[in-house]
Amino acid sequence: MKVAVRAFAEFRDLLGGEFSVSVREGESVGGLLTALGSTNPAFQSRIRQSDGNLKPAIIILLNGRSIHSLRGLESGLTEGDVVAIFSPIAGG
Amino acid sequence: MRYLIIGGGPAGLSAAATLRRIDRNGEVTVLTKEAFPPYSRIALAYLLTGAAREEWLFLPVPSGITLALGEEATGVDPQSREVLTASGKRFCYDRLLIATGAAPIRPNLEGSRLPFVYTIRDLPDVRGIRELLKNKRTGHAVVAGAGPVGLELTDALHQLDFTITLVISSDRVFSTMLDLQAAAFLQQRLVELGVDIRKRTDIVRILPSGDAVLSTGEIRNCDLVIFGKGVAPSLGFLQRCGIETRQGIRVDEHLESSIAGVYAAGDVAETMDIVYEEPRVNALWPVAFEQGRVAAYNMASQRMSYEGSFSRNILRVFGISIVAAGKGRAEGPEVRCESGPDYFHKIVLEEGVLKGFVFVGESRNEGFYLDLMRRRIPASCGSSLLHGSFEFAHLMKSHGSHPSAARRRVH
Repeated sequence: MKVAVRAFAEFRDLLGGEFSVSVREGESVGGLLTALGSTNPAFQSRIRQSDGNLKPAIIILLNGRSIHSLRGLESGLTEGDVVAIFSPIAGG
Repeated sequence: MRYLIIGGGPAGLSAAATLRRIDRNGEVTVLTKEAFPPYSRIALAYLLTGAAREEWLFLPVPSGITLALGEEATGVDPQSREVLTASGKRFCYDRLLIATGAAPIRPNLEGSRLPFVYTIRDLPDVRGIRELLKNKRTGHAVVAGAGPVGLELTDALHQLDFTITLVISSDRVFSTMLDLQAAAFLQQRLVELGVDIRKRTDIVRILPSGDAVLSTGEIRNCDLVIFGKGVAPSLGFLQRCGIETRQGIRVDEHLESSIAGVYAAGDVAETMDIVYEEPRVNALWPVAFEQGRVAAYNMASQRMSYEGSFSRNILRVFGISIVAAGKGRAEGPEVRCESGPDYFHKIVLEEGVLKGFVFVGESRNEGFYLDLMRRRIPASCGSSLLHGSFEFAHLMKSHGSHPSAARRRVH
């Protein structure tokens, strides 16, 4: 099945802006991020802590909802879902 | 009309002042989470070094408003038009402005809550660090993050005779705004001053002994760990009230949220970025101030469109001025750079319109450059633009008329 990925700010530079990815049925958001990171170590190191958890500054939305209000990285994907990835915000 | 503002930062205060001016009969109430009057966060690094005194930080509060200190909003009920606070009170409104700002991100790792581990956002953070500094042990500090906050804190601690390890997740200092060349220029200065820089590295564990363990396996024993890893909009209290959020609160051109009568401004709001042409949170003091003003006009039913924001940072650290705006990291055919022993300049144009610039070491006319970006006025890619000497007179000459004519041609 296919899901859409929308990368913003710094992640746009690392991944490209918006693209479609084929994932297996029942794949999770975490699995999608791992797949994206497997060919892109810079992306991998920017989103995950050394213990594998998502870095706290990263905001991931699944169909407009934060995955923290769903099942986190375990949140399941279905055909046509849109995953948005936002980088940390620098204050000033 | 009852106007309620959650947050006493620049967005909240500018909204309150504007409302007081344009609707003299309205009731204006500002709720602040902190128990002391509104103050300038951007001066906190100066407070740390002693260059500023605490009493200088407090901001003028508009007369004729009600300031409810220590009232942290815990929920919004759009049906009854009430805001609930942690003290159990309910504040009614006809128009609501959410200006709760953003909170610093503290990584969830072993030792990140130890008493010598700080984020820097609030006055108590700096008060705590100043107390800690009275009992210096190693004289070493570990700062995680090399954005504006991390760099300013590194500079402040350096002035206080600390040695510093700067731990950076990415491959460069100030990675959100600088390309590798500009970052290398700044990094060289930091290294010359003895800052120990660890790139592509994170803190993985902090021990009560003061040891900060890095992802490289290295250990730095220190008196102080500071996380300057960016901020996240303070949105938690909005869960289940139906206000649409993404990275921040989504607002329209009038800064009104998905619920009528509820507005958002400042670090908590996601507004149109006019450089990237997509909604973004640009968590910056002048942006917040302007958004607060525009939101206030709309709250008072005087329709005003917000023209949009863009990222720009101006800071002076280690004796170097850094001005970075918009697409400062971009590469492409309309990008020009020049550098010398003591400066780096870069301008980014798209179809002749300035979309970003970086001046490190020497900056001039940055206010005018920011205005060129804001107004999307075509500017020639001549050397003067790159040198920083491009001025209004050049613009008049290149357009043969007042630049507003050029702007009209663009739109």
